[in-house]
Amino acid sequence: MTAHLDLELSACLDEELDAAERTRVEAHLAGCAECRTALEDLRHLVRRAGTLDDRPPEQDLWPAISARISSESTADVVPLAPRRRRISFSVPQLAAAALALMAVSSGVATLAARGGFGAPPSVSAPAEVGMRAVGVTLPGQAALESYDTAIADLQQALDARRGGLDTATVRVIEQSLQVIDGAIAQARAALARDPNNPYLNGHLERSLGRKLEFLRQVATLSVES
Amino acid sequence: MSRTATLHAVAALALAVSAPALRAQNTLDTTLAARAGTRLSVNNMTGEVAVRAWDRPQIRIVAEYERARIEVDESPGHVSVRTTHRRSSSDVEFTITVPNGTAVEVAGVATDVDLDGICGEVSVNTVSGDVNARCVTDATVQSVSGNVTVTDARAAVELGSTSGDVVVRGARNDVSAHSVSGDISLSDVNGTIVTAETVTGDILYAGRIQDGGRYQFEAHSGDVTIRVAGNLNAAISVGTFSGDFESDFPIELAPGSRLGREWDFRLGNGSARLRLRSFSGTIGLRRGLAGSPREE
Repeated sequence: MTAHLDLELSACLDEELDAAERTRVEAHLAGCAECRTALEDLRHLVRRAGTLDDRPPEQDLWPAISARISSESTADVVPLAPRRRRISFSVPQLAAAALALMAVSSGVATLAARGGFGAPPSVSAPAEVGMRAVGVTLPGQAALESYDTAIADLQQALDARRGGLDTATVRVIEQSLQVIDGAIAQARAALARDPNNPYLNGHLERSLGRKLEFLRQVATLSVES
Repeated sequence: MSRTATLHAVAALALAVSAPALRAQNTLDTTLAARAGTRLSVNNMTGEVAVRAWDRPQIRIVAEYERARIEVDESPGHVSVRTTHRRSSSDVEFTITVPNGTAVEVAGVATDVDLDGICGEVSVNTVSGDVNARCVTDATVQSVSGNVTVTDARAAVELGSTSGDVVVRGARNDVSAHSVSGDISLSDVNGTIVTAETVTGDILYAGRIQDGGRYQFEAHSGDVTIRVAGNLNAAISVGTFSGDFESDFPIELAPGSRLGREWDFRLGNGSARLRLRSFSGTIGLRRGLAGSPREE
């Protein structure tokens, strides 16, 4: 078995392979279920990315926050331009690309980044054993700091409009923030004891993403409430 | 051209003389023509919005209220219903009947929403109300403290509640559900991309794991329980920090995997991908539907 396809999948998706390359890729795909799955994953991600609804919140905070996240993590994130362009990232880089998508819409991108596009299982392993560990990209410090900055911005926006929300809603929001903050604190504490643990790194990142998304939702709550 | 009808004073006004309540109850009852593809949007600050379906090309709006102003705005392809309040808000109870398949958007604050049999695209955003929807296509539902229940979802649905529970009973397509402190229960889902995330709530998935599907379930302190109907062909990734993992299926860990952290294994041909995470809760992989919502 030859090595699994990587950048060729993106080129295949964009129909940018020449005849010889296409023949080679198709031959590999015919015999490699994992690469066929990865290609289908890519197709799905691109399809879903194209359908994401990037509506700004009422107070139009998100574009600035989103821009800041992008600008501070350019080393890790592949920018998604609105025009059609070649998608030339490697499979592991999809995790970072999906992080940017997650900031727009958490659902599908989260799945792609965390579950869908890790290193594929080895096809030569016995049926019941031998699946390779799912590839996990440890979040960079810059990415975590971007989360913190974005969260601080949204938290500030929430504080500013707290008086416009009814007390029951504010109470639910505060309680939920405490729950999320508690989870983040536990993840940070665990990570401090085991800093190279991929699960804990991913868990902390997702917890921060969850808080970001939550604050974003709160920022778009009806001002009449 | 937009035609706005302010129907507060001119609406059919009925004094609820037969009711024991002392305050007057106003009733609005109006019917509008609706061509195919007309969308309905309702903004009701407090009260209830119930939407039903019929096979007539008309939208009938019935509202019961005490102190409110109801505006019905009709433009080509769109009917908008909105309540406003001059001083303190009071409940407005809407019962609206729309043509089958109408796209419906509802926004509210303390507003319960009940959608039955519309079988169209649905978008609901409420702060403290519960949302129940039966037969929808694409649906996006968000509540802050209310429960969200969707039955018979015929296209992709995205559902969320901050402190309430999220329940899906029957879905033909993809499902994304999230909560902070509420539980998430998904049963009889036939989509191939299913995600559920909660922080302190529990997650229960009961049904088939489709070959080639992508499933991701993650909690922080809640339990994650998967009750599998039929065969299970999946590459499974489990991650926890201080929680437990229990399986009815025989598993063999991949070399290098560490129990108590994150590990992978494969069942059957491994075509589906199943990702299970709980920081401190119990992750359970169960064979059969015993104990699932349909069995209870």
